[in-house]
Amino acid sequence: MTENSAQHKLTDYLLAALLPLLAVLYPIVFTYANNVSILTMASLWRILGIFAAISLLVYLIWVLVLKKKPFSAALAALCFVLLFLTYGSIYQLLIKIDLLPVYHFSLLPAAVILGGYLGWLVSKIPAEAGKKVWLILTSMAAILLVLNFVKIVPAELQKKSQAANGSTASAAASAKPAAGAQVYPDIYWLIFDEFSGFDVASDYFNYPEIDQFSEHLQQMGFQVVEGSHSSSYLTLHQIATRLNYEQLPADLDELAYYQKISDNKVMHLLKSKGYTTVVMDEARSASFAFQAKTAIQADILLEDTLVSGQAAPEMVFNPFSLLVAERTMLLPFTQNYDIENVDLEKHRDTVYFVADELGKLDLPQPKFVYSHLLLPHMPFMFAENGSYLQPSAYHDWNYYFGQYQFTLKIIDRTVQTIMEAADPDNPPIIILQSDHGARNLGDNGNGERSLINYPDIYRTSILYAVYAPACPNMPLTDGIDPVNTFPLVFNCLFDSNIPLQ
Amino acid sequence: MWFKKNKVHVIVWLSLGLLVIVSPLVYRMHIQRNSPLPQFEGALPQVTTDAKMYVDALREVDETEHLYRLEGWGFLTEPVNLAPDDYERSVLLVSDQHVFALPASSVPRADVAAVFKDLGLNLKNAGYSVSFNIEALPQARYSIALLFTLPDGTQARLDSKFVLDRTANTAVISLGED
Repeated sequence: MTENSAQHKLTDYLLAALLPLLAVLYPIVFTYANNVSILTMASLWRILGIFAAISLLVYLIWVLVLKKKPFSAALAALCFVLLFLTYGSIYQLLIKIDLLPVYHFSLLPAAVILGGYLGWLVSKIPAEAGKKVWLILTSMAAILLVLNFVKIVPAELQKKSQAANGSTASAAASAKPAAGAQVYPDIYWLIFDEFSGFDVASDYFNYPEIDQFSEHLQQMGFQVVEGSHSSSYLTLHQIATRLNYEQLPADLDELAYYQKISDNKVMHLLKSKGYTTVVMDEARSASFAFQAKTAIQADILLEDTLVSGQAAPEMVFNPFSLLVAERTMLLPFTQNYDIENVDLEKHRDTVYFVADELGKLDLPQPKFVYSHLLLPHMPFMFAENGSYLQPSAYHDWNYYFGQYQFTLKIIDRTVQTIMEAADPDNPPIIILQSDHGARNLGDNGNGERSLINYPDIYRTSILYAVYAPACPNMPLTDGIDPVNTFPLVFNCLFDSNIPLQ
Repeated sequence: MWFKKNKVHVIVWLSLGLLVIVSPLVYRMHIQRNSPLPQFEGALPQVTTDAKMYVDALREVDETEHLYRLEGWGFLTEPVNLAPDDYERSVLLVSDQHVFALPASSVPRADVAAVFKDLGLNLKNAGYSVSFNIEALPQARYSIALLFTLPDGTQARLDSKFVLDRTANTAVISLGED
């Protein structure tokens, strides 16, 4: 009987812990469900673990304080957990109201005291009533979690199925030898995400030196297209459109674009012509991009092999964790994330890999190399001269143009590396493009600062320059739609007769 | 009797008030007393018409240290033989109660030199930048001006159209009302 009673008690203690645990997990699962098409499950575990540990610790403290009252302890812990989860939002609200100076050194202890006080008040509820309240709240939390899983599970299954299809096709593609088409030149398609057209650099950022850069490209043999605009400022939409030379709707789900990009017309045609396909897709590999993106079906995926040269120890927060943590009492500890962050190191190394190594890859020719760098895309971590900026600059659009100027240097270095390693008798085709222009996505409540008086039309103004000695008569007219990027090349190299749009 | 009964509540709410309201104000007063920004003493010098200036941005450069940087460009157009490095420039922040003079350092600005090349001046370093602890700046609306101090000690100032609004938690620049 005594043993039964002890077992019963233990079950009560374990059961009661469910309430603070479910409450603390809910915002993570909710945020993940809302971003399920761009995140992977791997980004969840660390922050789930931290939050679960915090809630259980708080519960244990209340169990010790309120001996023999597990359900009251759970309710008391819930009070603290709710304050823990909302602290960051309360801090931001007080900053917005702006009546008094607000500092973490005073607000955080106040929140802890308030959490303890509310827990103490709640513990006064009679045990039986407390158990009923616990039951209602736990059921509610469980239902809310299940509702989010309903959204997560189908999306995860679809991601898994697309990834499986991709790897099968990729293996089949790499099994084919790239022979018999040596006459074709290598093709480099280099995307610099968020890189504004030269008109924006000159007219909005008052940077007359951009004309010198344009002339420099022309002296190297590039045709520079002026006034080209993307049909949207959505990266996935733009890449899917160009890789399939087809104007796709701009309102498809991310998963649909993943499929169109992964299994695309351009690489199918190039494979049939004997090309080795190589992809360096930072839009997939960077932690601040589309982590859930399906890998492109190519012979070589460089983004999976590139490891940071100075791998820093794993940090607690990845971008998803940061998004969640910034709303909680962990906010003060998230504010000093700098270049030591392993994700930013990887981004930096990818940038320099493209600039200095991509053109030197010794692979079966002809090869098609698609590189998508998230540069000058956020985070704005590079100054004009390549030095690293403080974390406060990462989302401040006033630093966009410094990173843009740095990108000009990276573009130049990348092109030089390719040219130096190229066969002079069969020079490559190099396409420099951006997916869209600077979108100036500031003032959205996340502390981002935006550019003043920035016209909307600049958001779609893109970089578009082509080096194609093999195609001297390519009809590259100013203002041409980038959906024609590959039809122009294929019509010249393979007489494909793809109609231009 | 009432206090004895409600002792815990009173202590908790008093502590919360102290932490949330009193301690931030005391902290800020402490900084403004112990690390004040340099004040401009005396009457403001005459406004000159022989100068040009602009304020580009106010940026937070170090969140932990509360360090902000004000950037722009400004130079004298007379005498023509002087380049910006030949005289001192300070940013004046002028409110109803305070006038702060923050010594500026030179910044190369090839774009400014290109735009004003017809003036025949050496404007290689026409840019300026000042960094300061934002906590040391009392809450107020400040007009932003540039103070020029020539080698012979004469001073002149040029008012910009920009104002800096320092509130309890923010500092932003904007075009002031005419």
